[in-house]
Formats: sequence, structure tokens, C-alpha cells
Amino acid sequence: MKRSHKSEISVTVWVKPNTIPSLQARRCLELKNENEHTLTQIIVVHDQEMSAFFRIFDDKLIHKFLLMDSCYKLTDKYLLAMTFVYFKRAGFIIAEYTVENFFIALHLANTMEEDEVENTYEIFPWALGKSWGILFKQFIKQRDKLWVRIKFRARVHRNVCEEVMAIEPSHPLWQRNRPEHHGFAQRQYGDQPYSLRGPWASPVFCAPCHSLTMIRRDEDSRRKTVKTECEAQISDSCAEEVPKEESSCGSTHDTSMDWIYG
Amino acid sequence: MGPCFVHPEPSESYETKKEERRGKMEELRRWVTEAGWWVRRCCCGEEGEEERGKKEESREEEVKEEMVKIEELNFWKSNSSTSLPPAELDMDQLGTSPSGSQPHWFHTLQTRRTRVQRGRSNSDPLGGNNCQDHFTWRPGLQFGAAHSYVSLEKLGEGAYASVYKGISRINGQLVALKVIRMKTEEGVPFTAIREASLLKGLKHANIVVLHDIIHTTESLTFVFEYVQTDLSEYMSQHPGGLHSHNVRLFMFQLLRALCYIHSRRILHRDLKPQNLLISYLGELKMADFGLARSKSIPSQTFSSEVVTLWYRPPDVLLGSTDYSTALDIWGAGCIFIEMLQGAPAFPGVSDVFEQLQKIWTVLGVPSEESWPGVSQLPNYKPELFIHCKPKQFRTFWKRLNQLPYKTEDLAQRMLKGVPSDRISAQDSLQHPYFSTLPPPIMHLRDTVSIFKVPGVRLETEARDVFRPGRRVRPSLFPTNTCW
Repeated sequence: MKRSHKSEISVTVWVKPNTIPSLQARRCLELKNENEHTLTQIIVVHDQEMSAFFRIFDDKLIHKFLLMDSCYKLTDKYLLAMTFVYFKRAGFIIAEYTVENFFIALHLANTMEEDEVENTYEIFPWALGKSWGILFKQFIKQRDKLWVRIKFRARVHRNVCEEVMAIEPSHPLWQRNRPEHHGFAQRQYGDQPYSLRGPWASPVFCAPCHSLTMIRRDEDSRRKTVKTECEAQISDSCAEEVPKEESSCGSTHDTSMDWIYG
Repeated sequence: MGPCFVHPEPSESYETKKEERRGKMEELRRWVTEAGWWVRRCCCGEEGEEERGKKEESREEEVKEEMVKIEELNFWKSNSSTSLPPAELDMDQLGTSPSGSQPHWFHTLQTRRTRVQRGRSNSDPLGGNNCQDHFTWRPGLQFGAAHSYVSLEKLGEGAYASVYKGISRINGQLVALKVIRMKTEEGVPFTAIREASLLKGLKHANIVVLHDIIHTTESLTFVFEYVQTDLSEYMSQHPGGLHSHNVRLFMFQLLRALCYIHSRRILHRDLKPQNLLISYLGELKMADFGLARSKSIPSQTFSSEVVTLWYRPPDVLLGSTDYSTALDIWGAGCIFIEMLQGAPAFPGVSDVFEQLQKIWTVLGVPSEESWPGVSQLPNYKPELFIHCKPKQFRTFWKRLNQLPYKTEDLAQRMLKGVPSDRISAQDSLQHPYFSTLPPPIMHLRDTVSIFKVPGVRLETEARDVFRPGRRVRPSLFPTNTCW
């Protein structure tokens, strides 16, 4: 059966500035895939698009939003990569790489990939502010519009996400690995009614994430003893910069946000 | 949105409106007449099949050229062709049917077919013949537009949509129009977003074709290929278990579809007879991807409330937090038994525990030895279960007694309690149970129907509620001797 598969393959090609290899690369890939009976979908990523996408995270609100989502329930690296793929599929121009569009795309990514629907509600207060209760219908309409604009194709294959991440693999956004205990079919027996927290409250304390952070800290401290005095000083100063919110899921030192601090 | 897709109301004066309405009524009448003509054509003989084959082959060529443009509405790709010649129906062979009467291989709709077997698609009422004489493409009609389809009758009502039988004004094909109810607060339901997004990437002979999507501010309509019936109705029409040969064909197609979606890391999560459409030829098409989702990204959140209770595997019933492709295999195994037996494999009544008890009656209550880690699952409460030992399937489902051992063997491999022990869809296609099928069936391209392989066809069912007077063959359900 395997041989008979005519699969759909997505390829991400990164185009560096001042180069035009895209056409050639596309042709090569087409030729290659023609023999394998595959349908090829090529995403050509331009350098300025990737930069524009990363610039969205310079916004203070988004920065805080990512920081507060310390368990990566809404914004793990795959969902973030998906938002970028949606931007590409929608054919957004650079000016459209905005905070608003980011929230809309993120909501669509969550709708597509996550079964925990309640989690996605948390996006509303961040994207729409205090009057989100009135504005969210419009937001949903915008999300549906984006879905139409990407020609109803909200599914993004894991490979595509990973290819997007591979363009700049060391970027802190791509270090946001969701812990396993926040995945799969989690049941919450006798759980409390869900309430949105938004930008005005600290995240709910998450014991598993907290213990995970404690383990990491222990490992870090062990490493520190081996470090030179100079290195130890740098690392200490970094730690001081991170706000200490013990209630925030335990992961007070969010390494994925270090890049924002420069 | 209502069933009519034809007339958006203009906001003009009453007279103009009246005039326009009259014109539109005329148009509608014309289309209904044409639709009637198409339906009549559908029930008539089908010659010119070879021409159709050629036409489809040329389409396939176009598909290759369009490799990069897959985002476009190229729905007809799924109606693609095969390199195999169209199978001729051997009337002599059919004449030996034990029923003694003229075979009615179009069982479900009870329409007698004529000499030549038609192509794969059932959504084409013209059968590809002579259509060029009568039909001209209308340049004004486009995909994605509501007025390109005429709704004929309501077929059913689902949780979040109504389904209508319709006809495409673009190419005269019968279609199923799934009209999604839109809630102002939620916009497009997530089930619809997932269904369309997933189906857009799936092109397989055993997966229902999503032809078109019509999106307006008030409504969302999915245009699917029209398929005559579903497995649930088919089984109701032929009670007491299906012909073993037909079960094999249905199972092969179901597993072929599963193999395809699982290789793309997609889980269906709602396998049940109602969601498996059956064409008059016997083509099985997996439908309703509303609960389906991709499972390629690690640590996604998953709902545990998946799959209708009767077809839900024991690991999920026990509260396992992770599940994968084995989830669908269990459902397929249940459907396998149901087709043979003529009754659901595990017809639980109310809750999860009763459902589990039904399963333990056959598989035995699991222990840490038989299922490492089972005692850690939230719903594992051995004190609530009546102690049962594992049984041979044939002692519980008597039909298996009448069939070769390999039938029971495949069922047993599919219905394993431990999910990791369940056979994969890909391996199940290689199971000896399918070894009696003609070898070319194993090497078909995804978009090619198994009925394109010469000699593959549905057998006459022994029982038929529409023809109660028919003599039932003396030895019920003999093994197939078709090839």
C-alpha cells in the first residue's frame, strides 16, 4: 500500500535577502517529486517575512502574553509556527504582520489543534482588552475570514512547523516546548469552573510545571558550581531581571523570553 | 440556511422584485426539469464507459501538471482514473447466483443495472455518457457560489448541520449539501473548521470527496459527492449479517481508508456504520470528519469524549490520557463483527462501566499481567466488574464458526484490549483474510476504487427486507467463490 500513496508534501524554502533561488529551487523540487507521485506545496519564506513575524513579539502586550502562558498551553512552539504558516498561506504583506492578526491566527491554530476549547478563551481578554465580552464576536468573524483566506486549509503538518523553526532554530520562540503533562486527553475530575484571567491576573499555579522548574533549577545550580566565576555573575544578573511570580506555574524563569531582554 | 441556494433577495422595488422572482422561478423550473432529466439518466443504462475512462485519464494528466496548485478547487481530481480497463460485468457468472433470480447487484436501491459496469463516481448521474450532447458548461457558474447548486430534498439532520441532496448546476453532478448552522458567538464550529481543513488534504477513493465550500456571512455549506446509502442502512436492509464476501470488500476498503489517513497522522475518532457511506457499487467512503483531527504535533490536548460509546476502545473507556491510531482500529474491529453478525459487537446501554463490562465478557477482565499499567487507569475498578475469562471470539459471535479461521484471527487482532497490541491498518491489509482478493487490489493508487480491478464486485446479499419473498440460500453465508 505504501507505494501506491500519492502524498501531499509541503516544503519550506527560505530565501535569504538579495538572492533569487526560489524559482530554481521550486523547479528542482517539482522535478524530484514528480517521480514520486507527490503533490508538492511550497512555502517560500523571505527573510523580511520571518523578521516581521519575530517583530510582533517585540510588542509589550504579546511579550507579557507569552510570559503569562508559562505552561505553553496556548503558545507552544508548534502553535506559534502555525500562526506564521497561516500568515504565509493568507498571503499577508509585511504591514499585515500585526499583533491583531497574530491573535486571530493563534486562535485558529488552537481551534484546529487543541481539544481543550476552554484554553482558547484566554486569548480574548489579551487580544480585545476589558471589553472583550462585546468584541469577541467580531474577533471570531475575523478568525473565520482568515480561514476562508487560507482557502479553508487550517491544517499544518508537523514537518512544515519544524521547517519553519529550522529557518532560525535557536530563536527563543522555538524553545517553547509544552510539557507532556499538558498534552493528551487530560481529564479534570471535579475541576473548578473555568474563569478567564487575562492580562490582569497572574497565571494559575501549576504544580507539575512548578516541580519541573525546580528540577531544572537544581540542574542549573549544579552546573553553576562548575562555571567560572565570571559566567556565574552573568547568569545571576539574568535571573534578577526575571520578575518573581511564585504563583505563575512555577516557571518563573521563562528562558524562551530571554531574547526579548536582549 | 435553508435548502435553497438559488435566490438571494435583491433590495429593490416590489415590481422589480416580482419580475425578478418570476424570472428566477422560471430558472428554477428549468433546473428542476434538468435535474429530473439527470436523475432519469442515472437510472438508465450506461454505455460509453470507455470514453469516460479516457476522459478521466486525461484529467489525471492535468492533475500532474497542477502539482503546485493544489490549493485551487480541483475537486475532480478525486474522480480520477485508473490504468486498469473498466471491468466488464460477467452476466453468466452472476447468473449462477444461488438466489436463482436475475441478480440485483445494486442491492440497496433495488435498481437493476444494465450490461456495463460504470465508473467509480456515484455523484455523476450521467454516468459519463453522452453528456456532451445535452450538457453545456455554464461559464457564469463558479465554484464557491450558492447559486451553483440546487437543493432537492433533505437527507438528514446532524448535530451541527443539515444535509440535503442537491445537484450541481456547474456539471450536473448529484451532490450532498451539508449546511452548517452558524452560531453568532462561536462563528464556524470547530468541527467544521477541522472537517474541511482535513478533507482538503485527503484524496482517496475510500474517503468522501469534498467538492466545494460555499461561505457567506450567514452560512457555510460543504458540497460533498453524493453517495446513495451508508453501512448502517445497508445492514438494516440486509439483516442477520452480510455476505462474507461483501464484508471482506467493505473491510478492505475501510482499512485502506484508515491506512491512508493514519499514514497522514490523522485520526477519525468517530468510526461507526453511519459514517461509512456505501455506493450502489459497494464502494465504501469514510465520511464525517467532524471529530477527526491530526495527531502529529507532540503534547497536543485531546478530548477523551471521542467515539460513540459502542465503538469506543477499552483504553479510552478506562480513562487513558493518550490514544492514537489504535483507537480507530478498535472501531473498525467492532464494525467488522457487526457486519458479520448483523448486530453491534458491544451494545452497551448507558454508561462507560456497562460498556466496559460488555467488552470484558469477551476479552476477560484485564489484569496487570495481561495489560501492564491497566490498574493505573482512572476507571479501572475491578471490584465493579463481574469476573470474566477471555473467550474465543467464535464462541461468542457464532457467525465466526461458519467462516475460515483467518476471519476470526483478524477480528481478534483488531479487538485487542491493549492498544499497542492492536494490528495496524497497514498490517491488516496484508492479513491472510484478504488473500482471496485479486492481487492487483493491493497495488492500486490511492484514488482508484477497488471496483476497477476486474472481477471485484459485490455479491447478492442473502436477506433483503425489500424482497422478503426471495429464497434464502440453504447454506447461509458460504465462503466466497467469486474468484
